[in-house]
Amino acid sequence: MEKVKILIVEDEAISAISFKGALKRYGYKVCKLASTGEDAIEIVREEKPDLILMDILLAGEIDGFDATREIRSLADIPIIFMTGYMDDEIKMKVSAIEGSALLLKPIEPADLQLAISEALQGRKKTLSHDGAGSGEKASEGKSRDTDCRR
Amino acid sequence: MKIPFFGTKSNHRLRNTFFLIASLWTILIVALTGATYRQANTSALDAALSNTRNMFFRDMAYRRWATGHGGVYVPVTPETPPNPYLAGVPERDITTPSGRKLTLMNPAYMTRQVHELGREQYGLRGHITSLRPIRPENAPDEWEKEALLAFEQGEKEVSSLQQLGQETYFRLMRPMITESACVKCHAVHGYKVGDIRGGISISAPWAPYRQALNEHLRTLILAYGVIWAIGLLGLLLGWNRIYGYLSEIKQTGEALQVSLNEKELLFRELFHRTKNNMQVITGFLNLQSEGIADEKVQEMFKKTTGRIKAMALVHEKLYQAKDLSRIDLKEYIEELAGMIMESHDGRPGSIALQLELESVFTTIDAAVPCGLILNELISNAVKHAFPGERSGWVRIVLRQQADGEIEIGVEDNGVGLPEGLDIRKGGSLGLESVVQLAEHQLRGQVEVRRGGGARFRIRFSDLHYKARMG
Repeated sequence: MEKVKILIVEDEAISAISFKGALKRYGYKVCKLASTGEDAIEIVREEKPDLILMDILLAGEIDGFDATREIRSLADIPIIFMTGYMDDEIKMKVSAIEGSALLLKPIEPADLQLAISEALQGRKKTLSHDGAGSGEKASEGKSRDTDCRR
Repeated sequence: MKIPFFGTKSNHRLRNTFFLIASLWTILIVALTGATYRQANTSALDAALSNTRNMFFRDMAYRRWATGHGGVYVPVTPETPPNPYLAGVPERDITTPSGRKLTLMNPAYMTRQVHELGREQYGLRGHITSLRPIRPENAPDEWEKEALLAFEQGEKEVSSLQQLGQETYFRLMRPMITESACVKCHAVHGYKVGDIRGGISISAPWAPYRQALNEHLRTLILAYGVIWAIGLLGLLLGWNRIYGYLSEIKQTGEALQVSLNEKELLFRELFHRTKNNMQVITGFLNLQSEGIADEKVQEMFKKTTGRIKAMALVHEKLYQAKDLSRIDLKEYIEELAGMIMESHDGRPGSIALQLELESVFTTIDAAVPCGLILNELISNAVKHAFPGERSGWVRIVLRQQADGEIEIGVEDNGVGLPEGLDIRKGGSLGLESVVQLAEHQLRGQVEVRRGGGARFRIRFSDLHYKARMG
């Protein structure tokens, strides 16, 4: 099977490099790194990743949610959101997006791996259940610290 | 930061302003009243002037009438005796066929009699006079004499308010110029055509005018008084509102100032604590590395603590800064470079540190990545550019272009970067970080040159950071 390609959207350079290293260690391919929503949309068009790690607070004019809206109009890619702080508004916004999950920074590599595999599995399930109504939605990535759909 | 105007005691100012406005209003009303009265006064004088002048002209008309007739015969009465000054005039006295005695009345005699009548009946005083009166009783008084002298100088008319006895009069005088008709009788007195023979003064009592003016003044004072009172009332009512409003604004301003001060304190506190926390982290790393014998592992710990120190230094500078939102990269680099040189002391060769730094201010969002980049590049130069006993220099350049773009350079005259090293691929974690920080986080450009040592140039603009406050 082809290696899974993941796009990291993160404006803190060191965090981006760190995630890239972790993902590569887990055997994933990593696209060009994006630091703004606009870049992310571009790279989705060019490289068509299988999954996106999206920081919510970004440099540039748009934030992670705005970028997601644009990207979802191009393709139905599962998205794992990352944030430095948690509040109800963010939880609500994330749960309103299908095929999404939320991780609170600082993120343990192990949690990251868990969230990614759940997201990819959920996708596989919906693909094999095609046409069967809502069935199982793309699953929610859970980290030790977050609980996003309740 | 001090909010203007409200830092001072504004209570007195508000009160003083009120009194100032009230005073100005009062002065205005008084001035208006005065000006209006003045105007009325002038009008009254003009009216009196007009009246007396017309009386003079009427007098002159009658005189010309009499002169035209060469004089007029009137019956002799006790009040109207023959004119002794006409003694030499032929046919001065005549008798009618029925025996009535008539005498010749010259224009001056007629004028005088009419004046006397007028004085009795109307209070108006007319006086025909001259500097060389034929009839001594027609001599001028002081005022008239001065007027007559003025006429000799060419003055055409004299008028003013004068006291006559107990009363004030408006007096007007104009000259009588010798005309051809006058010469017939008066040449003998030495007058030619064009000479000033004398003048007629008309004096009208000023009392009626004064009375009218006083009434006018009373009305004025009442009317303006009312306006003044209304104005003052309005000012009072309005002032309370304004004062209330201004007090509110003042309070808000003061509250804002307090809030701002608190916020500044909070920020400094935050920067301080962040720096301290970083020191704690560094502490842990140091402790942890103590037990480790492997030099390579120790080196890794040292690198890591060095990076954390570079970040902590940014917070330290912010804590110290006057303007909490920006730091001067010049000061930062001076301290960072010093720290790095110190931590790599005890080398055989000597490395000279050259600093070509302009004062460049930037936000925390840009300062932290800059700090990490500089830490990487300077440390690399110090550690790798001069192996063995080689000596040389490391130069750091900092400047800002006119359009705001910031340029940072780290160069050395050491052994240079390894052949075929692409900083974007392979290379070390450090160089990869430098590229990622410069291109993706700072949205800038990296330029590398290799001949005669290593040369790095980072260019970026910090303007897009304005949107969010660190």
